[in-house]
Amino acid sequence: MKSFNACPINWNWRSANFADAPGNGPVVVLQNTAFMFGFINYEGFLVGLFAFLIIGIFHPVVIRVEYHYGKGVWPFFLVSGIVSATASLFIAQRFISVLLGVLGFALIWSTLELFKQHQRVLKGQAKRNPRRNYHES
Amino acid sequence: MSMTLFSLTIQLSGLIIGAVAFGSIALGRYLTIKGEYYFTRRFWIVFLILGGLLLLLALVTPHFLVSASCSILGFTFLWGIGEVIEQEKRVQKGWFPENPNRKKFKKKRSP
Repeated sequence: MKSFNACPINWNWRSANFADAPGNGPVVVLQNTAFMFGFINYEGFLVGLFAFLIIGIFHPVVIRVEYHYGKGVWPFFLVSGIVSATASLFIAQRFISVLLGVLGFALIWSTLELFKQHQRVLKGQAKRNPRRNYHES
Repeated sequence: MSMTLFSLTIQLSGLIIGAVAFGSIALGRYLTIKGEYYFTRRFWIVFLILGGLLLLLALVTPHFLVSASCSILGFTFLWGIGEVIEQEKRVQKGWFPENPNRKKFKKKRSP
């Protein structure tokens, strides 16, 4: 399977800065430090950023969906979560596969969160939709 | 990371990182509640330091899965900074149990 390189440019500061430096004295330490920090893994960092955004988007989505449609729509969240997580298995591009995996698990978490949100509404901790009947259960 | 099963190759990275994201949300929630309970809202400093270190580690690590996991945990902890401050308000509203050993906090609430 061909892997997809989402960050084709890898800055190598070591070769840029220390190509002609002699390897002795404090320069060795500098070289080793540059080796450690020379490779900047943007791909992994971007995965975290996108995961943060996906989870952040679902935070208000759960609240609004519970407000307008109630907890009864949980199968949509669960099924789309499972579909998304399964689809992530069959995508060769690593970065896109990871985004689908995170989306899938975020949807599964949202399913659980939908029920918790319902409980919060019953306890008066969240806004109650005045046009909807809540079955106290 | 990929795996081959009977000539079918599947990409496991998505599933692994998804599970890590799921676990990190659960961990972040747990740490927020426990951190506020035992260390008050000043626990946000721990979140800031841990989150910053993890993000730095994520940028430096060459291994993709390790880097992505660190990045997700780091961003979750940065999110936790706001969450632990919110948590104090939730405790003051009585939605979560407050630490009975905290005298100063109790005095503020009683009048």
